[in-house]
Amino acid sequence: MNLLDLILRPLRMRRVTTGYPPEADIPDRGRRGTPVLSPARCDDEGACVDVCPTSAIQVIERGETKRTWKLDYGACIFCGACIESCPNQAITASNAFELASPHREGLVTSFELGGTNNG
Amino acid sequence: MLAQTRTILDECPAYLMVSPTPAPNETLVECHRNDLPTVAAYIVGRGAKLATMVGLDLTPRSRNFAVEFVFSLPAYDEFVRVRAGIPSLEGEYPSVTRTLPAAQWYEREVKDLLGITPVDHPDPRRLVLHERWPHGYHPLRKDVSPVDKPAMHDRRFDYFEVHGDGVYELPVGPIHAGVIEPGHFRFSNIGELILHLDARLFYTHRGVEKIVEGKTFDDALYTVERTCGVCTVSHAVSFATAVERLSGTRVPERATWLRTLLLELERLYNHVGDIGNICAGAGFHLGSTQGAILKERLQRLNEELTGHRFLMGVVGVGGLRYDLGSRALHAVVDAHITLRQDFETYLDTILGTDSFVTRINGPGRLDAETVLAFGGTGVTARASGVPSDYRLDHPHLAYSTVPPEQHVEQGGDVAARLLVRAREVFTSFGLVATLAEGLPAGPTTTPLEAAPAGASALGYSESPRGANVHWLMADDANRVYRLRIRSAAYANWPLVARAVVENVVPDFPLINKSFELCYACCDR
Repeated sequence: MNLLDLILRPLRMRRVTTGYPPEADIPDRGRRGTPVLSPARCDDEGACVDVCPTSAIQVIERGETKRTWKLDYGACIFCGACIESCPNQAITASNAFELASPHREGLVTSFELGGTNNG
Repeated sequence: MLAQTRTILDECPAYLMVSPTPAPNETLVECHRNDLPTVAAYIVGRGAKLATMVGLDLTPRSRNFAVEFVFSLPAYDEFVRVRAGIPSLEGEYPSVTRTLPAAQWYEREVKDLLGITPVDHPDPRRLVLHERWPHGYHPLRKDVSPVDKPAMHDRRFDYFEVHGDGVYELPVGPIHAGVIEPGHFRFSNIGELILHLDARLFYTHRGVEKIVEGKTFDDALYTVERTCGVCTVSHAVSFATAVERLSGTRVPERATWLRTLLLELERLYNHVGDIGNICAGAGFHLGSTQGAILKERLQRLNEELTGHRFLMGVVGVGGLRYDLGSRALHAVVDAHITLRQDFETYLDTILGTDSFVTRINGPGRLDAETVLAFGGTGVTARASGVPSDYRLDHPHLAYSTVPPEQHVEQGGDVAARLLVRAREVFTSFGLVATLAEGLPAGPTTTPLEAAPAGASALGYSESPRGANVHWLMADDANRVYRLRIRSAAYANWPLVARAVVENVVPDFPLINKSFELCYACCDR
């Protein structure tokens, strides 16, 4: 390869970086995506709580009947074990990727069981 | 007992007692601790290589400590494990390092983490636990809790000093410019010439081996897989294999083929990225950016196939955690056709650039004798004329059906390590295609048999940097009692310090990048 060719090659090359933001390049992560709960499908049996290797998932009782499902993305290792363990497919892998937060509490997402998502 | 092992052990000058072991190609023998140097020298003299060494606290079970040296017989696919009991109160044995230099780090590590002293070790300084940790604190002992935080002391580390007119020291790190891991390099120089390098690592020691003790094998895998970012498949496969050999579980063929394929995908993106990094070490920007682009394309394929750029989360204990779709696999093989052509053009570009070729020829030369003495593995060994590849020496997974071609270079310098990687990239492209083509149908996971209490076994795989050897012992509740992770980086790091001697300081980044060893893998 001659020197001129070497110099011209980068010029001939098209841009390889993508335009984020605003265009995000999101590949399908399959089962390795960010876990998200569909509260309506949750049977509240706690299979996901038991299987989580880092105890990132907790169900907290609030009063007599209200219960909150919490997932801490700061502890989650995105292993997908909760997704596999759920008998009702209540947890799905999403393509959410902008999970950063200025506060530690911002990494915790919560869903009211039998109600609507507040987190 | 295995044929070659019997031939060797029959003539051994020391008394050995054979114990049963679950894995078919391993033999466990016990000897008196005072005979360790004799036995080690004898076995290595018969062509064996040190694969790993483990310190053991067996006190809850037998009121004993123990050390075990594991030797590989590469030509015969056999392992000889020599164990010696250490009475807990004495806690010492004669060091084998003077006859077997490859054991130097292992013995220092066992002293730090378990308090078992190798008497007459040529370098008795601390290795894994830095000097701030209190004396008498040995975290891998069973009576030490993993969450306790002992009070730290203010002590200085004794660096190796070179004296004489004009000799000066150059400290580099542990914080470096750029996104790399921490390590402190203390150079002793005359002018630009490096006389000695004291490399001090283990800044990223997280106590992985202690953390996994008492965990179920499934849970331990999550931690083991995260020992290192770029060798995740290799560590997961080594650990899972150790569990399966220990429990006598037969993994379905499809799972072994897919594990092989994942190992080759891991080798591909590492080797291509490492070649790009060698260019960065020589200040050749076109080479480093083009290398980074190729690596990025490979990692995106990883993500499309497995959902993870570093291929985490697929390997499971007993097989795979899920099957890989044939459509996704064929998409990878198709994408490799273009990638392979682009890699060829890329190689032509960098190897056609005279200034770069001149720069990489010569620096960081390691001879075969040094590599053998210090137990080098993987690309490091193969680039110095030492054939060494666990895919061929101890054929695991599908490698017995599809053996890879072994690429050996004689130069032992930066150029040789680059060329070995470049040739292996083509071999790996070929292997991926062959594996995807001939992939057997069937299940990808099988339930685990129970692991016998107190039994131990090895698990191993050839990572992009060499053999990752995991030594695993089960407790009586089917959990991890002791795990020793010997990464390829751990075996090769002492050789980096030797490769830079008599080179000039500005060549250090280039030489270091030609090994491209992980710190996290080594430090655990």
